[in-house]
Amino acid sequence: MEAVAAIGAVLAWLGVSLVSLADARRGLAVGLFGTTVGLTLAAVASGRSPLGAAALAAGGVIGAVLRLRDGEPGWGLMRPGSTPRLVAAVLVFLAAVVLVGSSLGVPVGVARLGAVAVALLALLRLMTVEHRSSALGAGATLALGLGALGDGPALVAAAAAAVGLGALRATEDRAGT
Amino acid sequence: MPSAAMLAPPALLAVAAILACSLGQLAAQAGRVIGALAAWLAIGVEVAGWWWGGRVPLEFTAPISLGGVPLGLKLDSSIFALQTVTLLALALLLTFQPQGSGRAALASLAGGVALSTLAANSLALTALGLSACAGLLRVALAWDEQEAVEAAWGTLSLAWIVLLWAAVLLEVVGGTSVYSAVPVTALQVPVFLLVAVAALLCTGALPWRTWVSLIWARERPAGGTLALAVMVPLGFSLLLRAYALGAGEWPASWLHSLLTGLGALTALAAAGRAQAAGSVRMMRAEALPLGAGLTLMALALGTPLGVAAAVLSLGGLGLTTGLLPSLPDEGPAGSIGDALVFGTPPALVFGGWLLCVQAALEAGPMTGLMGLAGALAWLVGLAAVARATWLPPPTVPRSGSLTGFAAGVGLLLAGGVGLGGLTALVAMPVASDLMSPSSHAPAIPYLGGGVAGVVAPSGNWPAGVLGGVVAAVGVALLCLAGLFRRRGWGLRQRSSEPAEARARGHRSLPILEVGPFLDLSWWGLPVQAAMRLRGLRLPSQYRSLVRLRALGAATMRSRPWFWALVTVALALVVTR
Amino acid sequence: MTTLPLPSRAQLPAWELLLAGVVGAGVTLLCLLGRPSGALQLLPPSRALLAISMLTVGLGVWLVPSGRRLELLCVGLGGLGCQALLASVTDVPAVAALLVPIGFAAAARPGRHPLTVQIRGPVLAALLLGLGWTLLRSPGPSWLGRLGALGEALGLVAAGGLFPYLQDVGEEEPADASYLAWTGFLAPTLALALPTRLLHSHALRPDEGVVMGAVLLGLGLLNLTWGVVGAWRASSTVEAWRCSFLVDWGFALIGIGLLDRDGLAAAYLAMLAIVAVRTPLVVVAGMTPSIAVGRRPLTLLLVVLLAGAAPFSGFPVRLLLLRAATQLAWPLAALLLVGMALATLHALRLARTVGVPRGHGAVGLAVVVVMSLALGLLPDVLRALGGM
Repeated sequence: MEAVAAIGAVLAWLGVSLVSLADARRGLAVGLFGTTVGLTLAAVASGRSPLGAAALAAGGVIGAVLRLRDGEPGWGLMRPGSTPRLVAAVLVFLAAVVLVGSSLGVPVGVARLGAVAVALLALLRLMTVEHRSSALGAGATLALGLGALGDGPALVAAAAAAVGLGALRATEDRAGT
Repeated sequence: MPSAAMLAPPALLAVAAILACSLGQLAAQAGRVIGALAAWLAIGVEVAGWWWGGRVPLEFTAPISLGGVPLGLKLDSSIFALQTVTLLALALLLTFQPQGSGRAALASLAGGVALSTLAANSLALTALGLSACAGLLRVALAWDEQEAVEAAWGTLSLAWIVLLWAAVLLEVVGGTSVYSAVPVTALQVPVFLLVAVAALLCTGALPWRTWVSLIWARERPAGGTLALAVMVPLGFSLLLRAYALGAGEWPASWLHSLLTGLGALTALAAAGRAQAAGSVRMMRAEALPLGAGLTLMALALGTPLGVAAAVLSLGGLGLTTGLLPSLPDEGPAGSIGDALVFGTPPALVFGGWLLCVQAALEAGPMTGLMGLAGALAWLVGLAAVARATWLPPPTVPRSGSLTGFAAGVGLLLAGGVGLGGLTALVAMPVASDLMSPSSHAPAIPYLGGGVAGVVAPSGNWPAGVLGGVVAAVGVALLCLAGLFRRRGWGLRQRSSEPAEARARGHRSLPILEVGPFLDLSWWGLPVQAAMRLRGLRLPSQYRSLVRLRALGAATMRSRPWFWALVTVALALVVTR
Repeated sequence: MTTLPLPSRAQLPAWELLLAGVVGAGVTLLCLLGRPSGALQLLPPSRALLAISMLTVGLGVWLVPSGRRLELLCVGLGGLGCQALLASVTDVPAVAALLVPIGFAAAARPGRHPLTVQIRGPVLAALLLGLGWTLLRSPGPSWLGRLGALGEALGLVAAGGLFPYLQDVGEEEPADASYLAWTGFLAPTLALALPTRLLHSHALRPDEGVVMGAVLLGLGLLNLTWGVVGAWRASSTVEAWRCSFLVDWGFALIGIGLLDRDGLAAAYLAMLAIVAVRTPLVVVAGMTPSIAVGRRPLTLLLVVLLAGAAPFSGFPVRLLLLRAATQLAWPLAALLLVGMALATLHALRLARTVGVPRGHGAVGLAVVVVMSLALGLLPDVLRALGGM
């Protein structure tokens, strides 16, 4: 189970890294999907509530699908100026290891590592993002990561958050950003 | 006196406020009439209730709390005296000062709140009442004009906040701030100092020009009169309560000396400002600080005679507050009134101040010196009155109120003539309640009141007759001088006279030049120094070292790098 | 925002807003009923705050011009739902996860700043709260727990948009679209619910409690200082109002940080005063032009109210806070005293911005004054209602 949790954590980290590096709808959707799968695997492996894990999975997937509705078309990966984000993805993982490293011997600890990495990197993305669609994608990822830190109610809340954020439009009605 | 009767005077004023507000629409002065009637009626109820109730202290505790403070009222001889003083000043204000119904309603409400605050049975409740009074007074002051509002408001706000902390300290140290339940040992020096600071701020008994003096610079005197009528007795009540809390004395003997000296200094400073005043109003503005200083000097002595003298002096202060707005800026009435409020016999002010000085002389050699200083201040004050007859009239002189003047002077003179009775019936019971004579003096009567005189260990003096002849002669001289000055008898101004010299009272006459007796131009040095300090700026070549604007912008403009910096810094501190 | 034109004069807001209003009302009802039990539990202080918030929303809807009433009603109901949810959800990571969509929903309102800027505060708060809770519950060295306590404290501060996480507030932005909606409406819920839950669940070890208390105390003093100076000297009116919120929040943070019964009661009353008094005053101030000289009785009364004097809502907060601080350390009480004295300086400036409201505005202002009087004269009743 620890191996499954580790796979889930790594997958979640890869997914959030994709969200962080992508600026277009496909990249965001796939990243969100990857994060969802990873966090769900980790939650199941660490013995969290099955209903909660299922809710997380469903919410994340729906949110990812909704992300394909609007925003810039394409993948938008590794655009100029994204190198710092790539570096940050690595550093955040290391920081997460430092924070929760003492409990890495058990599946719960490994799952927690993935969730912390997801949350931290998603936040970093939100602090620097300029486009609404990227912000919504990162927000959904952050919600999933935070929900994965808790149990049943948190997982359900995260799922609802991901769906809700997916429903928000990526373009504003008035002129502006 | 039944407990419910304690509530009657503030209730009367509160009802008057409501009626004045409601019925004021029918007639312009209806509110003032209602307020005045209520104030005089409240005086009657207060006196009758206290007298026929057997002059026994009462305490009333309600099962509810107000503002987080348990509600309770207490009435004893000192509170009775202070409430009567407040009501007299308020009654004179409402009767003789023209004001609209709204302002009259506010004055009545403020008076009701002040009476309740005086009767509060705990320090926390007193702080709450003081805060409410300060708020109402701010509204009353600012309603007319902005002059001196912020000075008064800032001072009174500080006073109630400081008093609130004193109450909290008392609760923490002694378990309660209820006056009758606080252990004597709970009144420690820090608590007392906070109470004293609040008292001094309320009364303006400080050596510099405070809000009490600044109030009189306003064009309309009604708001200022209300503030002084309410706050000065409230402030002194705190020091009287301190005696009750400490079982007749303050927590350290040096506190007595400190405040006695401060009182004398206040009186001297007020007298100095009065004799250097550039106008009659500015001179009159110092009458209350001078009286407050002498009152403080006597009250702080820690002797029964001192407390009794302070109570009588406070009565004079209250009547002065009610009388001053009625005094015209010109004419013999103004001069007579000035003389009486600055301590000319045979008014109550004279009797009270004389007893204050007497008490200081009798209390010991050091306090005797302070008493002499107080007497000097008194004489300088009288000299300032004489000088004021030569001061130029204001551009728009106040005509005052003749009936108000007559009523105020009448009350002052009645108080002076009946000083013996007041001493026996009002002042001595206060001193007896707060401190037992046997603990402070040998077993001889420390003060007594006869039919027409005062009996003190150092000698008797007939209040009604003493100085009466001198007073009559002096008043006659003042009237002549006032008539001589006011009717334009050849006071020709030189066009080349500088405005500054005129402001200091220099008037060039064919025969003599009238200037201040003491030149206080150096008095403004601290203010000038403060203004120079405010004007200091960092030289431009060093301003780029610390960019406060950039820091401020970073904190307020959602700058993530600043947030990260602060968070990491705090994390490092916490994880050490 | 698209609108559906109807034959009548009134125009319905967009469907998302209508849905938000309906959902918000439903969620509020569920939270009040405590359904589902176990997941939702509304504590008495939060219940009292929610009741006050309903009054505030009603007042706000009544005050705005009739063309905007339905829109603001939907926004208000949505806000109430968010408040109820944040107060009722017992699981802290769930609260953190919910903060994200709530933040996005608030940031999506048309305002001066784009969504990408408005969202920063709520998401940071969400992360700090979630991560802090995780570190508190994770096994490991003691510094991890202290870091977690720090996260909880900073999360609270970030949610409120307080120093050092101040948000930019636009000059012409309506209150419901600016970050003042968090500072004056949503964040007080967290400030009441979160510390209560932490204390009741004994989630904090002694050293962690000390860290959280010290951080809140320190930041409370900083916010108090920033607020009193800013409200007095700020060049813009909106900034002055925002700083006045910081003063109340400063008192509240200090009260919470003292971890004392009187301190928590002071924080509770301060939060009620923010929602019931200060926030509606900002709305009224935004509707009426400022006046140069404030000599009308109502303006003068507002000066006393905003200065925190009796018999208004500020007095019991100050009394309780001084009591709690004095029991801990008198120098802290002395600092508070200075802050309280300086807090009177900005009252006149803010009172003038309220101007001379007429019609609905005048009645609304009278209601606010009455609410402040109720908070100031009957704090014990409110404390009993809130179980404090």
